[in-house]
Amino acid sequence: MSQQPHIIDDQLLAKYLSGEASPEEAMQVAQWLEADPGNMALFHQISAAWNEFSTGEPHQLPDKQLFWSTIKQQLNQPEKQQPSGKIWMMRIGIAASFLLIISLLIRHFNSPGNTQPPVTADQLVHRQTADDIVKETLPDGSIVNLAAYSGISYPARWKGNRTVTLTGMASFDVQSNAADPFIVKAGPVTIKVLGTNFFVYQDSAEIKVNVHTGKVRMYGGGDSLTLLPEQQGIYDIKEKRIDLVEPYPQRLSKEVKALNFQNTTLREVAQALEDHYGVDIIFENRELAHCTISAGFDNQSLDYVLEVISATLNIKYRKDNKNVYLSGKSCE
Amino acid sequence: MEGLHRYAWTILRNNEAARDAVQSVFLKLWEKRSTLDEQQSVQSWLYTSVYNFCLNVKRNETVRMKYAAEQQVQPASAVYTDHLLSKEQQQQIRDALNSLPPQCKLIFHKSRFENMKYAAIAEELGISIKTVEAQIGKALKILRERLSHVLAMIILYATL
Repeated sequence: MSQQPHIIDDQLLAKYLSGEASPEEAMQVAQWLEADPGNMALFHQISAAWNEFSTGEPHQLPDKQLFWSTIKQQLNQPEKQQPSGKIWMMRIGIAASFLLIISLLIRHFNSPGNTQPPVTADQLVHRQTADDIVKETLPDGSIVNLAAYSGISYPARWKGNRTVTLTGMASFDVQSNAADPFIVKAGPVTIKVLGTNFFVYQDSAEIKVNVHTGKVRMYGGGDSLTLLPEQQGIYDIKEKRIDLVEPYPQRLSKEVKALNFQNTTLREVAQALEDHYGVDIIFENRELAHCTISAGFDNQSLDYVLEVISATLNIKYRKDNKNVYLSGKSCE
Repeated sequence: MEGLHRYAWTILRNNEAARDAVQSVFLKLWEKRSTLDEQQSVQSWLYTSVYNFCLNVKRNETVRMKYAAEQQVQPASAVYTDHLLSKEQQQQIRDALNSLPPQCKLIFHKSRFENMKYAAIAEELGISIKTVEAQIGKALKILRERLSHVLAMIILYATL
């Protein structure tokens, strides 16, 4: 791997994976994971290998809704004795206040380096993705497709310029409004657009912007560049310089492709792949259509996706121009 | 919440137990909300509480038995968690583990396969806990380096 995300101390990570980490060490790991989407990906990889030969169930996060609703229930029927002298609010009031505190806490965790919960007069909206892809509609109707392990924040009500702050990667579809420029802050880079469709990529070394339609002005480290359709601006963090690439490489895809399957039948998966990649998928064994799979892909090539599916379900695939043939006995 | 659950899982090795731990800690946070020091980091409080709660669970035999009995069976449909690797990848990992230097390999085995705590390993082998930490860290490093090309192919959905 040419671009290695910053690796955390091996000893620390080993301690964490072995369940020997102290709370402080666990927080260090948590902060490292949040620092860069690449770190989370790397962690998953290492964790997979590390836990490969363990007996027992693998780690799985609980259902979020259920998790919080169970807590709410417990609040409404407190089993423990109530603190003396306190006047309890109405049941709904308790749950609502609780959720408000929790949402502040969650926001607090999601902004690295923050030591206080951000309680500002102008409410800041924050969206953070884990392994999912999220489509967010902004107050002016602009659309942001957030890739995995990315985050976006913006004021609930814009006053003047339309500004959003981005970590990670996203594609944008910005409503035209010459009076109010749309501004994306991606690390040290500022991207100013009037009405356009573009894609932003960030990692620890570079920030890249691909313009699909419209016009974008990119500022970073004292340098600036205007980008037209099919052009890509690459900001090198070390060099503090923006370079122009034209046309932008197709590999960085146009839109963040949201392929997210949760116990989805292979028939539906095939349909999604046909739509996204413009291929035809043929089941040589019709029974395979009933197999189910849970997996998430962001910005991956068709080959990559097929590799995963065939490895997961233990089936074979064969590509022939625009046709993909799926065969195999049955899924495991 | 996710980070806390992950941390709890590394200690308890059980998803439901981890969930209960994190839920209990949040409930306790609510109870204590007025007494919490404003300067104190809430994150720090949460992680410390989860840690203490989990250690308590481990100490309590009856609670552990309850979770052991309820442990989930792997679902029939193929769910991608960070446990699933192809046979080739599994073999490569096995090879990498076999290639560890002797003391490193021994200590690593005791930790991963005999589920021994660092302190227990240190005591049994008559070495310091720091040595155990270093050796297991070394094992991770070697695993990482030997498997970097393999790991790139691992796709992890996970609900992490």
